[in-house]
Amino acid sequence: MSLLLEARDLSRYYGQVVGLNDLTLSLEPGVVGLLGPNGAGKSTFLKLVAGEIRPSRGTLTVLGHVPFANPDYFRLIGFAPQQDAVYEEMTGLEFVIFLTRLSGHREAAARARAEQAIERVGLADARHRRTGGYSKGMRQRIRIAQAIAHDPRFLIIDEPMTGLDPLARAEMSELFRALAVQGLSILISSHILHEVEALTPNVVLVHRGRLLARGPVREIRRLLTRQPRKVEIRARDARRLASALLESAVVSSVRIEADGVRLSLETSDLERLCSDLPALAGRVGAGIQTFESRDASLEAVFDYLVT
Amino acid sequence: MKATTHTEVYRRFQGRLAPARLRCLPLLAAGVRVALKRKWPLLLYLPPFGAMLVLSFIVYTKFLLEEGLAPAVLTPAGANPGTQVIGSLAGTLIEVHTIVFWSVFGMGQFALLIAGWYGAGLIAEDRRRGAHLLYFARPLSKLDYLLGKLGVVACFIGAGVLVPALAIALTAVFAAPGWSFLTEHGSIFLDILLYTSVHTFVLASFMLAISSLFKRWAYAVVTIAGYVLLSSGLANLLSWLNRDQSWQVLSPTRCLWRLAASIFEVEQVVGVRLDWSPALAWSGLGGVVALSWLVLWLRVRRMESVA
Amino acid sequence: MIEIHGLSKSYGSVRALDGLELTLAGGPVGLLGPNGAGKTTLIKLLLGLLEPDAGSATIAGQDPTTPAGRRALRASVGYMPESDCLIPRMNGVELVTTLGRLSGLTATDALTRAHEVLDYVGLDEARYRIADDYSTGMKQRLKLAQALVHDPALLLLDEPTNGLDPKGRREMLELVHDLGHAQEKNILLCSHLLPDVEATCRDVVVLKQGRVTLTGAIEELTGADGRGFELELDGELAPFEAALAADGIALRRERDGRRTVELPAGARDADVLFALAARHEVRILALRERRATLEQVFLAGLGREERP
Repeated sequence: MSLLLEARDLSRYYGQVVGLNDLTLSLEPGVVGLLGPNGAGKSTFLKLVAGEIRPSRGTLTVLGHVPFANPDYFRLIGFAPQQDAVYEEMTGLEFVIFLTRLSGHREAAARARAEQAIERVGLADARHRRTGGYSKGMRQRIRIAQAIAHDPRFLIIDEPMTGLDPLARAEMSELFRALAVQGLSILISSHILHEVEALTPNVVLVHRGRLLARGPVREIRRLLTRQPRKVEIRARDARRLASALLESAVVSSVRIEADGVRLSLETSDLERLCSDLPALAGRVGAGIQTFESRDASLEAVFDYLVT
Repeated sequence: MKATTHTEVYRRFQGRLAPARLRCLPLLAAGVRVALKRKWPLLLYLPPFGAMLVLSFIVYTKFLLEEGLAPAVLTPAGANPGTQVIGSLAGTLIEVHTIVFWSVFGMGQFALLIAGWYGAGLIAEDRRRGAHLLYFARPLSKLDYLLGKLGVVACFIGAGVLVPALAIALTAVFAAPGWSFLTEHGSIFLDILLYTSVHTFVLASFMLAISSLFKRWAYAVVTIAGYVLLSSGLANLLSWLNRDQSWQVLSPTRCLWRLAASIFEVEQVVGVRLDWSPALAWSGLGGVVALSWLVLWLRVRRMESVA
Repeated sequence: MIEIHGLSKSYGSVRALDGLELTLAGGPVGLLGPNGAGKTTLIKLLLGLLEPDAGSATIAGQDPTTPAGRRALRASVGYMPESDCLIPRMNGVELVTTLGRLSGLTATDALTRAHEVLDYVGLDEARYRIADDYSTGMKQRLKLAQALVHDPALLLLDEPTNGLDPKGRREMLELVHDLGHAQEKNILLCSHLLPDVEATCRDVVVLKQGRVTLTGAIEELTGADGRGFELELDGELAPFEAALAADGIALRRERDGRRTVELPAGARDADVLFALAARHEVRILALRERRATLEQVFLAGLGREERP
């Protein structure tokens, strides 16, 4: 399978400010989340991938092309940037047709594609209204429509969910899932971690212009060996369970909350603990009610990496 | 002794909230303070205050000459062209009220610049930066807001127009023998107050109204400059075409000049036609004020809808 | 705290609020609803910027149907707007102080209070810098500070985590949580991010088409019934499943791949699951109470199927 994207020592400077610093990354086709604190280099990376700016140093190849100022490349990608920019006087349909024609389609074909794209984002009812009158969420969706209308192979989206109410957000997620199933690769940059988590396990984390981590979230977590896994347990007799747990070699600390029911522990080997726990629980009979390790979530991983 | 710690950071507010009526005052004070943060624009006051010094000196020498005393600097031996001019001007026994008129007449031009700098952005910048969202969530009425803003620009205009005129009149009071000036021409102080109040109020209202129409102060400045030029040009044109100076009422600047001439009892001014009725000038200015406040009221009513 | 009866407000032909009924005792409450449901109008009402067409209300002890009441209301309410907002060319301290004075504090009170709230929200040296130059995180904190300066009876927070990166979001949510729980302030939190609401609020109010469609405590709405559990398992499941069935416990597979069981009535804990897992060499990676997320409740409540 050919690579979606390959970056080697990719750097971009804005005068004294470093946007990206020697980023080396290769991505396979699929859905990928791009994460990082504000100012980490996400927007820079997206603009480089979208071909809006040129690298200061290093190389970037996406779908086999060099993105910058490359008309063939622009036909292959769809970019929905964060800026709330639409031509306010046009209707939704006109807006999408206009931008679709810019990628080289003829009037009739462009119209058909535009209608279809608008249908997919759920704005069919509003397509003949001025975009100036759209709500923020609708404007978001019409921009997605223009990004997918010319049938790209790779969709690049910056903060797609801002301003959308939960219904619209659910529909947008559904749309992305449907697109991914049809073979479209998607790169989503977002701060809303649980949304990204719901869409894909694969993430790329940047911080201070450098690549911090990449891959499935669980795998990244496993690499963070310096951080012991935290586990929360609720049991009817937490203390008895606690003393039994402390006998286990993989448990490094146990803490009991004031209510005597909740317990949190740290372990160096979660797999081992999960294997040992059923027997231990049976022996002690402490009445376990819940057992979970929440720190493999994207939020926790992000937290550990970005201090 | 009992030990105590005070670790809570958020404390309830123990004081009282005043049901004050004059909420425009804090707004005014804050506005003036912010405006004074930039020191360079104070250079705008250099010409007015320079002129004030010159004119005060003229008044001073006038009284000295009347008493038969000539300041040393005016004798031919120690004369330079500047002082010779001053000497000859003072020698022509011009009345103080005429000198005051010159002061306000000249300052009027600078008043426009000052109003443009300090006033053009007052409401425009608030709208652009969303300050109205913060202001109107307070128990601040529309009138409070407008008076506060008006006060800010009025302070700056007033300083440019009122202070020089007062300085000249005060010089006359102290330069004249005994208190003769005060007893004979004391009413000039009332005239000064009347004129500067009118000038300030009209200009400030007008400037604020224009400011409320835009979101960038530059547009407001351009608009007011354009209006002043256009109205003067139009006034001149129509007066000439119809051979009727009444058309001067179209230009607020001309109305102010006419008003000044009437208040300070000046019969002739070089380059300015005075053969039209002061009552018309008053109504012209009244019209400008009324229109300005109408615009302000409507615009601020819209700003009051937050969220 | 808030009592609204039969409140209506129309703009032309649009009925923004339609006979709204709402009673809130206090504490942190989430305000949810699709765009256009009337949330903005309700906020304006709570801020005393709206004259209702019909109905009665008492908000923080004030009556918004009279102009005087509306004015007094604004002194008791603190608002943190969603959009970018600041007063041009002022630094943090000046901004909060000025707004405090406009809320009725004396000059010295406003200054000390400003510093206190700026301490609370965590703006340290930055408070002496011009607010125009602040980062998004700092601007959000400043907005919160100015909402708190007059210690209002009711805090209205509109999308407080807007534009914040994950760390900023967490810090802001911690502040909101502290305000609502430890400081016991009454908060109305408007947000589209339901996990935010879940993390900080005790109750929710859902608006739709100008009326309240749902109110309740989050605990109850998403509540566990004490018997349904969600499992994450690893290993050969067939014998385990069979053993469970033998004990009368069905191991179900939900639409989104989660596995759930329902323990028999009278079971006080899940030890039986662990025992069976041990015997059949199945690892239990996680065991959770089966709860709905607020998102699921919300979407279901608005007549849509829950999304996996």
